[in-house]
Amino acid sequence: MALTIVIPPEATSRKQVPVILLVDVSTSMDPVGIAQANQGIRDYIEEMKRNEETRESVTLSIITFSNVHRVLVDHQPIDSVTAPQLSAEGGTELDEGLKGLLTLVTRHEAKFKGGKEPLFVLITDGNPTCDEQQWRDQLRKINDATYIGKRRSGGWSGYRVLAGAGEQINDSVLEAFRHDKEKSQVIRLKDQANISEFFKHLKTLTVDVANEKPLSKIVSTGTQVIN
Amino acid sequence: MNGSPTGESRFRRGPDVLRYKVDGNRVTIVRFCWKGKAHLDVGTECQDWADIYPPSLTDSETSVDKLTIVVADGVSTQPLSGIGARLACDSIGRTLQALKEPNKPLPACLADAQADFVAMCLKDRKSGSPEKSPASPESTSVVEYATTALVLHLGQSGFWAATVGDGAIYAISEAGQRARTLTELRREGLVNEVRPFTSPQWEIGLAVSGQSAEPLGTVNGFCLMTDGFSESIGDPNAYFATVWPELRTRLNNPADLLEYAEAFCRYWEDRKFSDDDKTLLGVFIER
Repeated sequence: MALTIVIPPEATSRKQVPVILLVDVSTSMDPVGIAQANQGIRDYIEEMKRNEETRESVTLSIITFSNVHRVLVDHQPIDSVTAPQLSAEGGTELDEGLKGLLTLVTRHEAKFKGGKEPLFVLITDGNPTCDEQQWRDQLRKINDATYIGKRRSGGWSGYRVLAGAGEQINDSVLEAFRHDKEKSQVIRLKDQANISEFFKHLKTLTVDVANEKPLSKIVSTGTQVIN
Repeated sequence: MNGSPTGESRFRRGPDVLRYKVDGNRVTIVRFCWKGKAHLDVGTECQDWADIYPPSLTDSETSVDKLTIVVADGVSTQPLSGIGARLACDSIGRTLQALKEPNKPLPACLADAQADFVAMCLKDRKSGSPEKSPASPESTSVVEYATTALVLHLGQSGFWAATVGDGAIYAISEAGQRARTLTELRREGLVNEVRPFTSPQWEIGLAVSGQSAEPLGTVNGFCLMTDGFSESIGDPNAYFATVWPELRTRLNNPADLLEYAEAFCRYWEDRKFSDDDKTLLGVFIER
């Protein structure tokens, strides 16, 4: 019979896997997209809590954006997260969302240090209503941020998953976020009704990131990885 | 028992027990380097290496006036990185052994060892050896060679520790009930970031326990671990209170030690703490 090793739970700890969801809550997401996002986020949180590995390692942030950005969950251990209720408002000011992302990453920089690569997820259904230069400027700042952009030692930090729902968003917007070919994934959802399906895929991707494995590309019906 | 699908042992080193007498103190060292799942899956060797200087060629006690224990994980590109780790250990171990205490400060001596090693890598690179191997993205040239290096030096003045990159050295007291880290962890960024071995990066990543040796005081042991183990330690006191006595009771029983070391490495892997190679050296001191 194999020897059983007993180590008290407090003696061990897992490296953090920061997951940051940036969700478009513009009025065009109402009602189907918002309902789907609420359902998907609820299921995602529950699943992450059920899995021992992710329960002990994932820290979740949820930022919504429209004309403003709102931080609904601020870098919280997944085990203590209650699913927020998203509601629709305003336009698709992507630059606002990216400002929120950058502020959050900067605020928690010390906690990112020494952890596993963060997973950044953008979910949107339309082209930005802000000036293109504005969101690209913010993206450039993100690309310069150590823990979510270029590393000082070379290469890129973090994984990026860019999900576009429906026909109203150009691939070029999503593609602009791609950094490292192996660590970024652009996903087209047939329509907003597929957003909760996307969250099922996100569960798999989170486990991939926690295990430092390449991102899985098998996605359910109505979704397609385009890179 | 051996955990490999092919039936091969996953231990690159040990588990073995080495016995010394250093300045009147009885020093018993348990050592093992185990191939992690990440390397098992791709069919490559364990990249960790651990050595003790001077080497002991006997099962009985070897009397020395100073002892240097060195651990390194992979240096250079696969499949040569395990050899690189061995050479890194050798550079560091031999240089510290040649030290005439207290003529030169220990950190300066370690810097000499590193400079020698980098010079050797550069020479090796010019001859083309590392470039014959398939380059992995994280280390395509000597300026990007990275390693975790752990050094514990025991001598007449006490002990001295140094680390580069990940991994940890703990001083153990009260028979495993108390543990403290001897050097701070100098991370550059995220957990899997490269810590190059060349001069400027070494200076950034190097952490030492002090400018000179510290008396043993109440310390009755040390533990050196590569990041395959150390990164998942939460409360060191709770960890060593469990692990230390288990190791101690097996020092005189090789079969039991092998069984424990295998199960211990597996536990870490089965709980998905780390797929990386795993090295542990437990240093037990009796006065």
